[in-house]
Amino acid sequence: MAAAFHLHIADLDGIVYDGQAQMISCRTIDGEVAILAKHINYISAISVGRAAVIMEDGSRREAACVGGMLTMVDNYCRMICNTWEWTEEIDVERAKEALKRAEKRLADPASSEKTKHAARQKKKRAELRLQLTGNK
Amino acid sequence: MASNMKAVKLRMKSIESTMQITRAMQLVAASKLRRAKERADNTRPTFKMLRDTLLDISLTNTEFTSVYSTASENKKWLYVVIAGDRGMAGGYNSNLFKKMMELTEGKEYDVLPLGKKAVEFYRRRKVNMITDAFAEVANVNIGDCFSIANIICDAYKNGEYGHIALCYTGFISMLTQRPSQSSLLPLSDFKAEAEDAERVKAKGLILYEPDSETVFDAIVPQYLAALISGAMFESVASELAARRTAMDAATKNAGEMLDKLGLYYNRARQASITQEITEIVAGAEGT
Repeated sequence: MAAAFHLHIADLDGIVYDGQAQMISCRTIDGEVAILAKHINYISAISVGRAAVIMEDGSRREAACVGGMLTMVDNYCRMICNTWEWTEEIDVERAKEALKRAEKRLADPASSEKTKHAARQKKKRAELRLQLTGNK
Repeated sequence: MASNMKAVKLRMKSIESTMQITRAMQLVAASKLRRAKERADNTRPTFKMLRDTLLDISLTNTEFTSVYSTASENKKWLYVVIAGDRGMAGGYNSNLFKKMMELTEGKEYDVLPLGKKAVEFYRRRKVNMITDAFAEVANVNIGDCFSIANIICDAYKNGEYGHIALCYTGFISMLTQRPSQSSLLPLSDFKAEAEDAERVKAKGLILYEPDSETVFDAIVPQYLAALISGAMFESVASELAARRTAMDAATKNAGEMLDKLGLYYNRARQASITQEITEIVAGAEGT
């Protein structure tokens, strides 16, 4: 069995996971990374993307992960995100509606550049959620 | 005597209606408090973790390329002050402002107030506010916290302020709430706040990917928003707890006053009846 390290995941609503894990991978602003035990002390910012965790018992879980930071200090990994949803917890209907709303706003010529920017972000998040749940 | 009785009756009526209000406010605060406390309890570990992480960063940071990480020469402070929208919450608002007065003693500072009471307080004192768009703390959501964070970041990047701190009320228990402060920027301020000496030891260097400046630019607005929203959850729970306690005490006091006045009223009534009887008897004897 691969070596494990302490993984602590939290989002703005509270602690999501606090325990041992073999690997965590996610998309940072610099591209995809995977962290294994004894990784060098490391900090990066997280962008929108799929994240995966291999638990201590070897099982794999996936999640939609949006924004935040990833730090690995002295074999203790802290992942603080804006939102973190395990695939099985994603609300598919809500994501579909969010996608529709965002597309409508993007197509509307009256929207300002700011709303368009927000809508593009929303669209990205909704697409990620749908992709993870196999709806797209 | 009769006029005195009337005055007492009126006073009792007014106390009764005040008591109704205080009891209603207590019940409302108590029911809202349960949810607010749950939210604050759930999010507290995240914010502790965030602070630990920032402390790690500030202790190990050896790169001074980012404006966010290094102490600046500018002596001007910006305080984000989170108070309540309404009074009737015991010492909740005044304790916070007292703390702020201590903190700002002799400093040049601006504020970013959240909550109507904070806006009024600083308007009266003619302290410069960078925005009063977030006057109603009850309506501020996570999205607004991100907007606040962006405002702060822009102001800091432009060099308008040397230090940015947050002043809020920490929820300790249902009966105790304590005004507290937390540093926001620059990151080197966290070092000064480190309480346990155990953590203040040299750690290995940290690898920033792609580089520290880009990483800081991406994470600073997010951690500011997270810290502000966390402080807001705590403050809202504190305000409700303070209001519940204050209104509970007020209702009890009103009850006591009513009891006292009731006794007084009955005594006066009895005295007036006795007097009337005496007068009638005296009149009958006279004939």
